[in-house]
Amino acid sequence: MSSKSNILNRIKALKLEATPLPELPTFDHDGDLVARFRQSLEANHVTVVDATDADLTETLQQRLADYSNIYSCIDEVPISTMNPEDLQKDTQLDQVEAVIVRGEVAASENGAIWLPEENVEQRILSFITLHFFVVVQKSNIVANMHQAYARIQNIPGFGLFVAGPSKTADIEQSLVIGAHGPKKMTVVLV
Amino acid sequence: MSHAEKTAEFLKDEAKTNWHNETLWWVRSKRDLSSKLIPEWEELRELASSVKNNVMSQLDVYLEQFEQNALANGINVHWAETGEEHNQIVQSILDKHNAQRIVKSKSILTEECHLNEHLEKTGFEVVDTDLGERIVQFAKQPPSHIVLPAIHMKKEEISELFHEHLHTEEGNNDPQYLTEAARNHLREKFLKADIAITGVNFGIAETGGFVVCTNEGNADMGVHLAPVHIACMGIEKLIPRFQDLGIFTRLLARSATGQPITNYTSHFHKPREGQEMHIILVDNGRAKQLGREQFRDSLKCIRCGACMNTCPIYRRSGGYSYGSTVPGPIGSILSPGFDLKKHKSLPFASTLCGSCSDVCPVKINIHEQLYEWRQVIAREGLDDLPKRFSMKIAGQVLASPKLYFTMGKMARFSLKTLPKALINNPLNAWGKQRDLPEPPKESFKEWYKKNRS
Repeated sequence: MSSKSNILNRIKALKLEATPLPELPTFDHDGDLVARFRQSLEANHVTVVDATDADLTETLQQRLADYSNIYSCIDEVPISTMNPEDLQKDTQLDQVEAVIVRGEVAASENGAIWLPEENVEQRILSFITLHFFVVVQKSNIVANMHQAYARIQNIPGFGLFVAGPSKTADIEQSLVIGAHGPKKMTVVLV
Repeated sequence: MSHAEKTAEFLKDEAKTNWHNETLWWVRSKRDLSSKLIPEWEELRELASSVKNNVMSQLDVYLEQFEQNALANGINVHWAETGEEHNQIVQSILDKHNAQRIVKSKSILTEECHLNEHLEKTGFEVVDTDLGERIVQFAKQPPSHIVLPAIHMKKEEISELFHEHLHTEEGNNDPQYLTEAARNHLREKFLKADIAITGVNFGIAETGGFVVCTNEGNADMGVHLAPVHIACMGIEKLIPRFQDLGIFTRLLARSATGQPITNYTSHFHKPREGQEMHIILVDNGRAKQLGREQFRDSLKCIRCGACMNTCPIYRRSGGYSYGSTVPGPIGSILSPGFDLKKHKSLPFASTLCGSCSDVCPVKINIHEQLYEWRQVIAREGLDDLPKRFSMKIAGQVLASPKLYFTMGKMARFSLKTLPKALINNPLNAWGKQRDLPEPPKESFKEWYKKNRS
């Protein structure tokens, strides 16, 4: 007998009666979702800036003055200084300073932004960059995680809810930003 | 050693005990503040509890569904009945890839299976990448808390460890400086790793994927760089629907540390191009626990640690006093199911105040199960003799009004007249750190007769 059938048989032998699965909740929030989203991000050490579709590239460029290794995953923002082939473990992947991606649905209650892997050149980029830039459409902001998950129609091979820069408090509960991943995160609201 | 004996060790450093107690209470307070911001909090707990009840009632169905969908996603699925089998599966994957360098992110399950010891014995380098886990790994200790692995250590101790292992400046205790040193050290490890191992927060039956939550991003740094990802998951970690994540992601981090969500909530459904992904489903006593009706609920746990942060015993005794992978109230109802004899003192490491059950995001009746385990332990004859003896006497005294009256009189007399050294004798565990109260002159009955009759 395989381990699989041993485990399953052990459970089946219990003959437990199925309890009902509850319906999915639909909680809402009355307030200003954009304001609450901004507040959630700022409370979590994320810089929030405003832009329009027209001045998006310019707005980002102003924030990128200090960096020379930039990779933009947004076609309409062609300001990469690195090529896809630079982003290899044995080349300059570890040198990337700024990565720019487009976020999808976002939850105002906690600042979490959905990033399907289709929006990012490589899965690792959201984590290995020093400064992470995420562009969010205001119209994509929903109240909470229930509504955010409900908006995800196609489940990607890898998908991430990101809510802030990499952080830790493992030394005496003292908060330090930039544990392994980004030391800074900026959200551009469009 | 019993929980009480190990606690005595922890309590020797009074200043540190106080710091531990206050810090965890502060984390608990943050949980309160954060949960109060959600008007539907109690409804969410109820929902989470019902979803998990449903999972437990049909675990075999969900496991098969999960496997089928995961296989369709291109994930290799393995089943392990025991911790030993889990370790062998991991090793066979390592051997297949001729892997040497392993990075691991926080996984309580691999602690439970003693994976590190197993692999290090066979010559592999295993690097724990969560900062707290790396700290305790340097100290050759297990984590003392499931969410805050190094909460029992002060920054001075961590600084010393880092000075020894990472050559940081001697005496530099700045958390920012120390974290930066760990970042640079671990960045190297991430870039060179052959295999990344992670735990799993939630496995999703209907989609065959899984979710890993971190704040540091260490799990992702490992898996997105390494050519192979092994995810280790206890069979109880399943949830039925992708949409159920809305409930659990709202509860988990708020319950754990009071933050509204972990900064990284990563959803894995397919390996990246060219990568190999494995998931190991581990039983290791869980199916057995599922069969124990009064303790079945313990499997609903989502490992937030809230019961530890709130527990007056945990806060003042530290994680190591429990001698089990999962400490605190939840550990005290899970561990006796694995090894009753070894963990027989744990259900007594509680005041039964019920605070653990009050904060539990999936509404496990932890304190009631602690009480249930005490009865199991007494029935099996595993309780300690002095306690059994005194309980027997107490039972007889309380059953007879006459005897109760006489004993009361005797106690009032002897407490008043006997020397303290005799009252706080070595058999009186209560007297170790406390004095008994001043005895009243008369019993309530005597007083009532005089004043009201």
